[in-house]
Amino acid sequence: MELELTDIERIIVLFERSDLSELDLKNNGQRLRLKKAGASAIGQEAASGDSSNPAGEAEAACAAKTKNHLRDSGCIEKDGRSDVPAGGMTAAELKAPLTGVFHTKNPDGGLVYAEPGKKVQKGETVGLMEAMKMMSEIKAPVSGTIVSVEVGDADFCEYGKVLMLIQPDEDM
Amino acid sequence: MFRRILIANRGEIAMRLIRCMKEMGIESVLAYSAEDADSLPVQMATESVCIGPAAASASYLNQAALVEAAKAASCDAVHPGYGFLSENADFAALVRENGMAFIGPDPETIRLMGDKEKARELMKKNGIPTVPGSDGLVDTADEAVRVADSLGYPVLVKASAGGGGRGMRRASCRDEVMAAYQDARAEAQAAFGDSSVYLEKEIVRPHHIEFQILADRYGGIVQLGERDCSMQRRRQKMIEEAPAGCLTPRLRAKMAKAAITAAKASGYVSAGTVEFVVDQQGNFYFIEMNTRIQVEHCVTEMETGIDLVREQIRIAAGMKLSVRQTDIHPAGHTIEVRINAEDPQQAFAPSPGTISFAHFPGGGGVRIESAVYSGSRVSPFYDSMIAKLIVHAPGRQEAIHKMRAALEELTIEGVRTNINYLYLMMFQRDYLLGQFDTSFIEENTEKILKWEKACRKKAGLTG
Repeated sequence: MELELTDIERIIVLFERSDLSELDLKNNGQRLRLKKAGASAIGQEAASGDSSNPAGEAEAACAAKTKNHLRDSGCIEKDGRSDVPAGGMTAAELKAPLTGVFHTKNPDGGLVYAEPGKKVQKGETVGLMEAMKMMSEIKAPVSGTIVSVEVGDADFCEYGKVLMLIQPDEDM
Repeated sequence: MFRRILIANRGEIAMRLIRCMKEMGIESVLAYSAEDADSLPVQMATESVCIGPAAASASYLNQAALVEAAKAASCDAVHPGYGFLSENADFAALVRENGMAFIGPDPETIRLMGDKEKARELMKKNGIPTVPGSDGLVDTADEAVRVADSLGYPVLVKASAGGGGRGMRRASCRDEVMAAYQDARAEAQAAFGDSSVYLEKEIVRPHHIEFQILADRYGGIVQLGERDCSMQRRRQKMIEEAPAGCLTPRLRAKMAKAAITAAKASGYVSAGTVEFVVDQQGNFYFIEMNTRIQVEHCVTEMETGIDLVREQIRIAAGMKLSVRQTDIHPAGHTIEVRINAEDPQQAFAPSPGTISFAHFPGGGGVRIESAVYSGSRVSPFYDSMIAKLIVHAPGRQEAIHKMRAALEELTIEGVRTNINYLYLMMFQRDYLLGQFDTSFIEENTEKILKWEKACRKKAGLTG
């Protein structure tokens, strides 16, 4: 399979985002060599809890990583752009998919679902949303660590409200 | 009086409610879907809360979200507007159970009047003429044929859980009854979860005449005159007016009395509408009762000078009606047209999109009810009505002239609308003569569309 122009463009973009300083690619008689001059031009921005542009910061943060992230991490993007690989170390916002009263800990047993520093697996319950005595489980969209919880226990949350920020785990 | 009311609706009726509450010094909390985040009501309400995504089922019909939002915002009451949950007895009950007032009738009344067959039976019992029909629900196709034969054709098979023109099938002869019966039952089951149907003789070329009523909790009941809503397309009202030219004073008085009886018989509280059909011979028949404020309530407001939404809120807050029957004097003539984002030339297909420019007419006797502003969006998720234009003048011809002038000035760009269609309707001979019934629009649409094309061609306009 020959590399097309679009393939090469894509490789260049990924190379730029990665922490690699050199790339030597051979493919069926074609050869592509890429090399970065000096330090990366993209600044290293620390992943912050109140990132307002996770997609943009994800690009910047990628440059600081030692691994190449090609997969969408599954985090909910703030502006819904899923064509941008979100595999950076920026914390992802978990937004309320329902309206109601959000419980960070179980009202009956006191089991804590969400608190800063807690490690969670994808699909794990990180809170309960209550509306009219019906409880719905809110699940973590990624495996990672809860950076911060943006609402108080038993706060009313409108649809779309940011409930917490989860720092996705590094990919294997 | 309430301090804070949650508005469980959107668009022009949300604006109507916000404005009334502002006048009354009541705070408004507007529940909106993510789709409506940039809408005018969100900006004008005292507070707003997002209760779900675009789909109505997850937002404007989401009872749990709405009640939770109302409680969280410390609302004393909930106003459901029209459509959505306004005639949902369960929602009315849920609001009450959670310590808030529901601005509308009691859940029991909503439930009773929502059962169209039961409502019919109640009216019959109270001496109100109903359309000749089956004696209760019709349970088998054979019975349907028997009943249809005895009534005479054409007949309508109507869903008891339906209303507003939905869940109906027509049979114009004996051979069509079986199919109409089965189709109606299937559609009723699918649409309302209840396949109960009854039969009515179809009144040919009727006028659709409805009476506005108000009732408080102290036995005060008034009727505020009628509205002629015969100008319908596929049972959707397009143009409404008052007074109805087909009513003699005697007939009007009889129907007004029947409307009051209907309100009393159903223990009605709040604003409501009693719908009748009037046949070509001047006989009137009860069809159904609408237990909500209606789209066309503004027509009655212009005729009587009474603020119906204000009365609704007062009634719900436990106050008496601010008017007695002797205070009500409909005067002049009022016409309302519904401005929809649709393309009449493309079978009235909805035309969602962004309104790049909006200009509304003004002047004496011209009223606009809309949530549109230049740059606002018309969503494909909700119905296509974007504005109501209502004019009031001393007489019908003057009202028509005023409507023409207003429609000429009204400008909406960015989406297709029915403005030109409505404008040309204001020049239709039979409409001007007041000679129309519920089949008028269907019968004259082609003519009007051809006329519009010819006009545009002559003016050198393309597209």
